[in-house]
Amino acid sequence: MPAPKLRPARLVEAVISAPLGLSQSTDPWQDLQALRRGRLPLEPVLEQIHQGLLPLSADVLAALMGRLDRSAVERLLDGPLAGDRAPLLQAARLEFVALADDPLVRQAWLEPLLALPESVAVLEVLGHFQDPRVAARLRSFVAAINPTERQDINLQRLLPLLGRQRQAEDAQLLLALVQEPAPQAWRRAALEAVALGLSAWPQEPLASAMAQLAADLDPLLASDAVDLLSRLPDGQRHLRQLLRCALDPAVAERLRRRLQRSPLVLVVHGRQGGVIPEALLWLAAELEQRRQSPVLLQALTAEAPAGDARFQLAARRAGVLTLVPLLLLPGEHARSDVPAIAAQWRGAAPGVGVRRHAFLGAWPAWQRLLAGEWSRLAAGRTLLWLHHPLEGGLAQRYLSHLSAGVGYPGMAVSYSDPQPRPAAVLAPLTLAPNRLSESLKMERLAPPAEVLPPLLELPGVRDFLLSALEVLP
Amino acid sequence: MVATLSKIEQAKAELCGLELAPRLAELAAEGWDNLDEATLTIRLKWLGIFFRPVTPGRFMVRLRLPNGVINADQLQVLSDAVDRCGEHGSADITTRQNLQLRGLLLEDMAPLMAAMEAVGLTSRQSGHDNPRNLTGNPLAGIDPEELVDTRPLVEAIQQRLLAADGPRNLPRKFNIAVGGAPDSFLLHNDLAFLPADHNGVLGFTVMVGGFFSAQRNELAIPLGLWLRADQLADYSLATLRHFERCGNRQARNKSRLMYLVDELGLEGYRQAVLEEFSALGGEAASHDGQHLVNRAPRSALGVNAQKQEGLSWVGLSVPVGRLDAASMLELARLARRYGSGELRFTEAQNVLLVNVPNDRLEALLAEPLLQRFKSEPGALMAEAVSCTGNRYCSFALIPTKTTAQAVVEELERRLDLPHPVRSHWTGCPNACGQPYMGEIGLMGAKARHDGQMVEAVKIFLGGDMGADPKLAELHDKGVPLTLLPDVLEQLLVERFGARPKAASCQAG
Repeated sequence: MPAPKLRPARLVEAVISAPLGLSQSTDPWQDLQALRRGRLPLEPVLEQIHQGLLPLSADVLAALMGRLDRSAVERLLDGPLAGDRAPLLQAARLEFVALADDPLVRQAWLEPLLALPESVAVLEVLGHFQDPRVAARLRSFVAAINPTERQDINLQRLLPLLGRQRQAEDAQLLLALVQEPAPQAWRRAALEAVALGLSAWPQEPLASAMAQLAADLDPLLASDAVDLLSRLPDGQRHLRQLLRCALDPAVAERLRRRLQRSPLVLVVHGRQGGVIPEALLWLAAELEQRRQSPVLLQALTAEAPAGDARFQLAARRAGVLTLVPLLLLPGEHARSDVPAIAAQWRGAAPGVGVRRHAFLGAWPAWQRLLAGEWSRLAAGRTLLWLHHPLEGGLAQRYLSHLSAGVGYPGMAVSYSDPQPRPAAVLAPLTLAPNRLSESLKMERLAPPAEVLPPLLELPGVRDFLLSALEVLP
Repeated sequence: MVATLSKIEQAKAELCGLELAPRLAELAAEGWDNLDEATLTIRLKWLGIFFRPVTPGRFMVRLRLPNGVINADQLQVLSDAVDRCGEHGSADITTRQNLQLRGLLLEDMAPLMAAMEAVGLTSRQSGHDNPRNLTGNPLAGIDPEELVDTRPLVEAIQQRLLAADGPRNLPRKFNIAVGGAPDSFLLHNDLAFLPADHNGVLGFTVMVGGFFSAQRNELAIPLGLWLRADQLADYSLATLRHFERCGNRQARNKSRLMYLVDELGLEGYRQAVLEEFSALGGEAASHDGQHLVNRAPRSALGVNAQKQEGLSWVGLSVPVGRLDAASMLELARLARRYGSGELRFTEAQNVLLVNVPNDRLEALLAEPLLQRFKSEPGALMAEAVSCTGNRYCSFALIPTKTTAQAVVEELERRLDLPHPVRSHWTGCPNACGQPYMGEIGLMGAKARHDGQMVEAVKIFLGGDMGADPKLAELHDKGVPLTLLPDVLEQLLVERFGARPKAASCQAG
């Protein structure tokens, strides 16, 4: 049996005007184009219209709109268009969007249109002209629309036209219309009005309204509000405040996409020749995915990287880059090199601030993590953490503090020849493999003695660093 | 004299749109309604920014993607721009292997331009009277049948034309393309370089004057010159400098290159361009115009072995070329995960994922996106090309893309076709959807039906992009859209060997 012949639902028959018959052309489109472009004389066409020989359809009027002077417009408005405004409205929708800014078109049409009795159709036609008088009429009309009439699509069309007038005083009305309970299409039209005049509205009430709207029950409106917030000059600050709000999952996801994380520079020790261990490369790559923002590893043993164009762009967009020294001890590197690196970044990227964090070893959460991980891994055995020798009072105070905090003693050892004091569990204080961890690995310790791997090989440490660094602004 | 120039020429002469680039944020703050008409509708196009009368306040950005090549990072940046526009956002793959983004606010432009620059994208000079996106073999570098890798050539031409001394005020738009395979049909371009032998050396023969418009449609003709690959960039610049100086600025409907060729005569035009080329240090050999392009373009869809062993490209059909933010992001992810991160756009408005190791093909083909963007689409959808239509374009007389998709889907429900049929849909006589190139061409029109004038299409038949290229000719001057599925069904059965689905089943 043959398949049923269905008419595709989208192929709705659209009725348009009758053919013109103004030239030899059998194609009405060609006639209209000739009329629009001035290749057909105007006067005979107008005469045919006024004598009733040529119906003034929307297509014909659209072709004429840019060619008429004020008297011709007044004559049409008083004549064939007086009884039926529909062709005027349809033609205006087609043509005035592009033509209304033309001084000649404005001169011909604006005053005659302002002189017409007010109606929804006339207001929509007028709304294409940016003019304080038009704005005032739209404002008072829209403000007076009865809430029960807000389903009317013709009334909804007036809202974006009011937004396009870009009069700052309309912000209050439009923002209220967006937020008030009303049919979805009405509120979306109001929000489109806000979008079309975005830069004209006072920032604080706008941001406040959009922030409230982001929590709206309608996820489409809420999502659009998040997008509009992101376009405001201080949008990132407003977006970050939304992180504390309960949002629809789709809106929260959109918020995540709009948040611009600053690019990260992770300062790491590095190995000889600037080589960066795999574990740190993995960390940076994973972070970059999670933050959707560039992450740069800067090794102390190598030349300072410049950051590629993508990094520079992210820094410019965020207005700041974030420097995190992944250093575990307050040695010379943390005390002297890191400030110098920060200064270098400040000088290298004009207009981009540098947000510098304390070295990782100083983070209380990090110290708590070490205490927990070592306690778990020691499982009741003695544990000794091994670190690079440090000099100076500050360093000694830190080491004492850490020992007390983690509950295990530490010991300075030579990286090339650790010779550690006997202990059941030896924990090298290093994120990634280094000479110390590799020397210790070579030791053959008799069970139950054990050498722990570099810290980044511990899942708990990896998770902690990813989580902590991911949420940095 | 400036006073005699048309409004467009005056606007161009007063200020080059490129000068607006540093002022984009400031213009956005002023508001688009406050921009003068020339800036809004003409000059911004030099930055690839298009005011759209049908969606006032929601702008379009047209990129430049030489040879249709884009990478996942770039596509992700563009996806983000579209995503910000919510339900207003979309992107269209164009018939010049390009992408245009829709629904953007003017406030989006400055950050978008910066973001694009950071990932190596530009939208510069992609609209109005400029050299448009340069096209090449979409399979360049991976094509087992490739004659020449067009990517470096296209890139070199773009760099030369967009350099500081490149043309900024052409009399009209200008299309350039470089062929690299036996199926590189490019005769619809103002300037096409087709691979050709000369004394045993592979180079390019120069074809000029192809274009489609409401007034006239021409395929490019041989100019009788042959160039080495390394000469294409300078030759293109010479051509454009000559066109910029001598092209018709009085009548925009008679200003495409072919009119200049007509005015000077082919020999006169050739001599004039050779002089310009000579000023750049170039010299071209005479040539008989024979070239190595001898068949219609492949669809490039489905899984295809690359010339690199163990790698394949997978061509996906994007229905009428329309993308949304989510699908763009997903395409970027697939390109990264399964391929080398590179994607290509074709002139048939489809997308190719390239450099996919063969052992990843099965997993790629199982990805959910491929339910929507099929690797093996129906015989009509595979090669259905469409212009934007009246949703976004004020010239279009019908909603081209939605009509094309609805009709094609309906016909594929009704019919089985023995081979793909290339249909080109365009909304108005300006012919952006290239109806004359289709085996079936459809152009938006108006027609009388049941006593009223209704939305309709003209039907053209017989376009051929093979060894003996031919433009499609008018077959029916007005089929109402509501009757179109039935009319096309009959045509497909009578002329293209289609069989009703039920009949096929019975026969099988």
